[in-house]
Amino acid sequence: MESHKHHYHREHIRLRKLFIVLIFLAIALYIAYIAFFPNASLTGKAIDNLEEDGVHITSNLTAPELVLDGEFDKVEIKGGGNAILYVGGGRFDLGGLQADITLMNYDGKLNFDSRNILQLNGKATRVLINDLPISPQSGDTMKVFINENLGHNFIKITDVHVKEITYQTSGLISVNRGKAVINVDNEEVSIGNFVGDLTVENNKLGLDGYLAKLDVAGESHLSVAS
Amino acid sequence: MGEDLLKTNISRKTYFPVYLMITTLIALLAYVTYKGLAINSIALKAVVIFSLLGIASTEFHRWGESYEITPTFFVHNRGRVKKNIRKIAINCISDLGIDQTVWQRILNFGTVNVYAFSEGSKPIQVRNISNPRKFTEFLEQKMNEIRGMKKDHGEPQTPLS
Repeated sequence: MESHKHHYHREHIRLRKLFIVLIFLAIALYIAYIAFFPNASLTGKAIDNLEEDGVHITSNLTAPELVLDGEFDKVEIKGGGNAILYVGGGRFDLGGLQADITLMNYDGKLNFDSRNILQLNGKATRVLINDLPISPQSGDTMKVFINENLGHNFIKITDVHVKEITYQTSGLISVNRGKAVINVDNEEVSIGNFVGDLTVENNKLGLDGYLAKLDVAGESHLSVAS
Repeated sequence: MGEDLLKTNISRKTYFPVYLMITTLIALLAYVTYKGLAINSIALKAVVIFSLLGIASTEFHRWGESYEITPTFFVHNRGRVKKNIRKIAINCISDLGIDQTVWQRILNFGTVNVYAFSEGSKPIQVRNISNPRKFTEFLEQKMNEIRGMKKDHGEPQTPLS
């Protein structure tokens, strides 16, 4: 009886240890998976199919604050200010001047509103500052970040995926290449799973791409879904 | 004469695998951040919760068991709220033994087996304490004091003539 109880206790401890190790492995693998295969998400397939099945839109709306995190083919920024741009081991003091900055294959965080880039922290394979190319000294990528807000008057991100934007805005949204035009007047717009090009210029957000869902909640509720 | 009381509980070295797992996860997060790769909030929360639960549960486990050697008793305290205190008179202890795996020897912790006359061959286990040799020597010293003998380690026994 005592031996049976002891055996049961040991088995219980072994299972508990196994459970802890499995949780640890699950977390470690999850971190590795999302960090090293950011595009291999469970929704990845759905995003790839958006160009076939999604609704095409172009928009000209007032710009929201956007927080993006991911991989972008090309990020073009026209701006300047007193921020310092760090690229690889180099330091570029914009010194209040305007500059054209292009980040190729940028992978990281990009947070901006209609006037300022609030956060830029990631890696790029190539950076052009006023058409002057900078390439990594070692490896395929180099770190790119700013020390403070960088004022901008133009941002264009090519091939961006935005999971969701919901904000109060005004402007025009053209659906399926002009087949329908939605005039938004200070209404709440919700865009779900957008893939395409995104531009912010003169406090206007321009979208040109495909989305899975669009909701406009104002006096009347409009909903478009693929 | 040395100290009169020795109190110990489970060594934190016992939880080395848990600390190693927590450190690995934090190192993984640090590496991912250093490389400029994206970490989402779920991963961050999972690491924080795993780390906090890991540390809290090991401390809670440690708190549940302690051992004391007083001049006359060996005391085993178990339980956190519901207490189970077992006191064994030192003059009732017959033998002492140490169990250490290779890993425990490297980290200097292990289990001391305390055999009492009344318990037969089943020892009372002082599990996973730090420096088990010191604990054994202290207990031996108390046993010798009680039995009116002076302990003299390292001196060979005088052969009978």
